[in-house]
Amino acid sequence: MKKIDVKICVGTTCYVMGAFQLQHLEDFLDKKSLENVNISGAPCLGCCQDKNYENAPFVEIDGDIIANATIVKIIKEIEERLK
Amino acid sequence: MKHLSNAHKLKKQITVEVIKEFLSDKLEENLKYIPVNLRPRIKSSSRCCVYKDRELIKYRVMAALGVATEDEIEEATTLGEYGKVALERKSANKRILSVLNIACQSCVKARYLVTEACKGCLARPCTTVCPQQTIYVKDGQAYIDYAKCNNCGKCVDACPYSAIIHIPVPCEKECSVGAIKKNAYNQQYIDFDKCIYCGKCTNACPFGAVLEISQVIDVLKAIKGEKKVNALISPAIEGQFPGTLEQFVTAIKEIGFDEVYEVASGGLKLIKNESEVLEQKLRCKSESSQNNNCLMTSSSCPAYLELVKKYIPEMAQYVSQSKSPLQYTADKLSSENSDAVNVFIGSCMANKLEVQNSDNLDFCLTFEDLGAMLIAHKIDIQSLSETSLSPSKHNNEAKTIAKAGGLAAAVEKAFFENNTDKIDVHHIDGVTIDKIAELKLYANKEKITNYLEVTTCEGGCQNGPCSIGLMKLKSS
Repeated sequence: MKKIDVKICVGTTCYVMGAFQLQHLEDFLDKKSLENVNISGAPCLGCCQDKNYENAPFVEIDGDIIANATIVKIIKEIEERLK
Repeated sequence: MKHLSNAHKLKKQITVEVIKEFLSDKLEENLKYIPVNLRPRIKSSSRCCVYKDRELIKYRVMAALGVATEDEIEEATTLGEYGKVALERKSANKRILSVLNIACQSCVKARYLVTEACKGCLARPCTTVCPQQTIYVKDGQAYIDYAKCNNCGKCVDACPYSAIIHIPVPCEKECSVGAIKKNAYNQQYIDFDKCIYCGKCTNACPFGAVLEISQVIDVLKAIKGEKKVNALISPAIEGQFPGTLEQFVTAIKEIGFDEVYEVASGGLKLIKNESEVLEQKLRCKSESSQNNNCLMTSSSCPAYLELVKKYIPEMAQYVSQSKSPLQYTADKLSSENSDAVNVFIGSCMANKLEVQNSDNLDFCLTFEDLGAMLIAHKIDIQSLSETSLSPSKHNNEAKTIAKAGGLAAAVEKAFFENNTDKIDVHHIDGVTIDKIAELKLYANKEKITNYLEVTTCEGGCQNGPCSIGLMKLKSS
């Protein structure tokens, strides 16, 4: 099975607005999720343009953008895809 | 590890909005929109209603402008008028911290509580262990008589069901010196005669009621002005932002700073100085044929210096006479150009005090302030070219002084370069009530070491109250 691609935006805006915390995602995943995801940092995904910075941090999961990302939100998305 | 909190996010967002309005040259006119834009009627509120949220945001905007709650002119004074105050003042506000009393939730006094997990057991160790005999059992459940309870907490450990819990006041729990306490209305206030400006309370309050008084407007004004503006970057910068240090330098210059200097350069001087003085002290002692139990303690953490002054006066005689790395760096810059504006950028709140007391430093920004500036300017560090530092990048040893234990290790290493004598170095990582007791033992020579490094923040400056969080992921 192809692994789920989790790209955490570590552009300056996302990083300052909270991506620093998302970097610890790995520590919160169960074994099954861990085996099936590929977590990486991404340069600015371009989502923070215009007034949208307040919805940072952004995370891209298999091409879908998650705004106001939190570890809980990401885990939910991953589990949804593993069903 | 710093957690992602909505209170923090709001603080950064407000700073970004204030900076944007400054940059648009319509600060006075547009400030009034910030509370409304952040809490429009259609959006859900954090408190009882959006109107209370907006009122609180007003005071947070004031803090971002560098105006404390205590500086309130009248309740009806508008944000525009405070904007004018900020634009017209000649020097930064001397206040560093402020409690926003209407945001303070007036948490109930710290106490112990018997929860419903209590089974009213036969053993009832809680009743026997309590020195005040405050616990009684009624209808098969234990209760605490709060009139008699002195908050010793012995019952918590005694209960086999873990049915008794401690409910702290978060800000009081974090404050190692008891400087934040309740007034007659049950709201918290800071006793500045006791405060060491460590800033831990600002992150501890779940309601974000302890405000940091920012100097962003003062710095933005300086950048807009005629004088040259220098950015002095704390060694704690390592890993705080994405990208390389050289890209970061480009980013700071894009904001409008003229030159960027690493405070680590002053760190090298500090390490050399400390090891030499230590050497002299040890030599003096051994000549007078006493034991080598001379003590020297570090002087570069400004919150620790306040701690010594206010709580451990017996330690004062052992505090190193060396200046801080920041001071060395600022002195050198001032000797080269006394007309330039020197801005320190770091993770620390107590540094604001150091900057205030220095002739050669003008303003103090935090990494959070700087992050907000980058967002407002739409600068993405990783997409920038690199600018080399002048003078060139400092060695890693000087940078490790931002980590707890780094200075002690560097001083020890420098000492051994010229000596073969044995010395003992030790570091205290993070000031807590227990650590203050340990420091008193060192000051009274009940515990012996030769060089004692103290960092008020656990982990060192890189974990300061205004840090962003260490970079772990590398972007592909």
